[in-house]
Amino acid sequence: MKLIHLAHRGEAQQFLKDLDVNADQSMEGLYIGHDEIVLIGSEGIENTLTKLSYCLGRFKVTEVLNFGIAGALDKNLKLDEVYEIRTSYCFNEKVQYKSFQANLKGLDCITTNKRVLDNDYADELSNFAPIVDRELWAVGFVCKSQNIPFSSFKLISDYAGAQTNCFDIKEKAAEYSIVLSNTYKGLITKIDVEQEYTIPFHLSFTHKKLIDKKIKIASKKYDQSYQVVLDNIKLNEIVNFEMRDKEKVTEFLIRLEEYINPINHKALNLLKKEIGVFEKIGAKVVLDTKLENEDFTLQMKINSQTNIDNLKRACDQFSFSKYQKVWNGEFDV
Amino acid sequence: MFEKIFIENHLMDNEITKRILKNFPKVPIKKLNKIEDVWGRVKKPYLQKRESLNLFIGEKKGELVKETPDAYGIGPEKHFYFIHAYNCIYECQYCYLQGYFNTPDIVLFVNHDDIIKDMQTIVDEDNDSWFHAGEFSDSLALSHLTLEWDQYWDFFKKNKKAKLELRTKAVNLKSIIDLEPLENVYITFTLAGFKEGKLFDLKTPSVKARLSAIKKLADKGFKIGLHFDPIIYTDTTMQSYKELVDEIVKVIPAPQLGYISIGVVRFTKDVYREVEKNYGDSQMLQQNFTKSFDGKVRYSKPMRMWILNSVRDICLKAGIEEKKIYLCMEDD
Repeated sequence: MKLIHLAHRGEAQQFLKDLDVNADQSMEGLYIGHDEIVLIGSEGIENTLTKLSYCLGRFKVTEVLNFGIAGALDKNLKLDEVYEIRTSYCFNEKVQYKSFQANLKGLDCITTNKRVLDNDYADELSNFAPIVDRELWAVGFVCKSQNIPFSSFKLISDYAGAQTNCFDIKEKAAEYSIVLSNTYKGLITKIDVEQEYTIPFHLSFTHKKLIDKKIKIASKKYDQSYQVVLDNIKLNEIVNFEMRDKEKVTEFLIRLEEYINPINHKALNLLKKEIGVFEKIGAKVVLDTKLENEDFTLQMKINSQTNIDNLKRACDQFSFSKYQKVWNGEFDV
Repeated sequence: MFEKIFIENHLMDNEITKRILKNFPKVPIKKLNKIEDVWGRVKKPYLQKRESLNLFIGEKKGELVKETPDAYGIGPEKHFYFIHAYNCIYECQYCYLQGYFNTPDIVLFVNHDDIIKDMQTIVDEDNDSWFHAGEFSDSLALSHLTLEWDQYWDFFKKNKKAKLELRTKAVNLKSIIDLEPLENVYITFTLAGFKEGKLFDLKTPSVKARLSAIKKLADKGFKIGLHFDPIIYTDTTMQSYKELVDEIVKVIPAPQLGYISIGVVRFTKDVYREVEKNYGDSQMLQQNFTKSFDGKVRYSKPMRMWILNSVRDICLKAGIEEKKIYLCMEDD
């Protein structure tokens, strides 16, 4: 569900006419429809933080769209024009470090805790952004905390500074609201089509997530569809193996890993081959499967002279220099 | 190129400032007490450099010349880097500048006299020290605006045992091509395979164009260094480097090749996080990385050693002397 955020009733009036939304009794300025929520959040950072947080906590919002009028700090911007916002900054007694990105393209906007009524203040703000408003940074703050994407469209009502005339702006509220509502109607939503695939044996939730991640990596690495990746690692072959689903999952993951990183896979197999002399005599060998730490540890139950003799023989057979060569990258790929 | 130019008040009449501004007559200028009043005060998303970049002209304060980390350069001498600029106009996907500064906006420092003074103090103690440019920026990319390198040339002519390295990916040779090639000055180019350069060095001169620039300098007698760093593994990496090295030996006469450094891609944790955010779909990230011996994020040890050895072998087979090859930022 989308949430449309505006600061003032004047800006929101056309949205309330155009959209199928009804007033909610729980909060002043909240209107709920089937597909959209309209929130008139009131002016200022604090009001926005509290009201928007309440809405994002109460409703399952997938996206926040902020619309509103704003002042221009750059005389090259056109009055009555709508600009999409790229990054939101904040000046609250002093410039704040945190910023929130709405989009890769557009103009930046700086949110202030007070109206810009003098030219020195406007000049200082213009160092950071060409547009100034009173709420957007708070929108970004709340959305970021909830991991919800947001976008913003600002209509330039005046040039911020000594010449700001708030009365004039109020007079034109209805006209501005029509422009902003039309901007909303003109937005086209792009729907990303997720690729689908089927694994015809049982997967735990953890395995499903891991496999999903690795198939995506392989797909991006080789620029292949998911199906091509699965064909290349011969999923059909694994399906027909006479083993339990759990073992099939293990084999599937090994093949995926080998497909994504054949060099690591080769190195690991070579190392396992070298330490195999210990495993043959029943010892447990622990190796760093992340392939960063060269140490390995041996664990073995000793309850007879035979164990000791086997261990001695295995140590004689084990070549540490061969083992080290693998770590030093001395193998063919 | 720049949306706005911010200049420290007291540098308005500086010769280098005037030189820079001549190139941007239409860009609005704002004066500041110090660049830190605006630069880096807010977290500006790195990729905004694609759409808008500001330029800051300032005076570098504090430590201007710093000692490098271990395994930074070739030879037993002391190595230093000096800070002439912050940030870069290029967009290499692996660049550590992504996670280093709060903003991609460019800073050009104009107090080169102070930098050279500090270099002289170091050279008075250790006369064979190395000085590296290009730590936080490309040495040559914007050098046609600032034209400061002739000052450094005078210093290195006077201090013949000290050495200068200018690290670059640029093909912009305007500021140095007519200077006298010096035995103790190396122009060093970061190179990748032709395909890898296209994939990962965005908005950067192609590897082919860099080789042409190298040839121009080599023909004039300049000493050249090469950085095969970072090497990013793809299925065709070794073939790419073989083709690259075959071209290099045609272009650089052996006596003029100073050194080749070889290094595999690596990231600090902060930079890796930024790279994932900025280039999440890059082929570069579709590999297994692991936290390595110094806390940096790298390929596994066998993999990176295999890459280093293989590229070193390619260089040796092409006839490059072993003593000119060194491994960068890796325990050998």
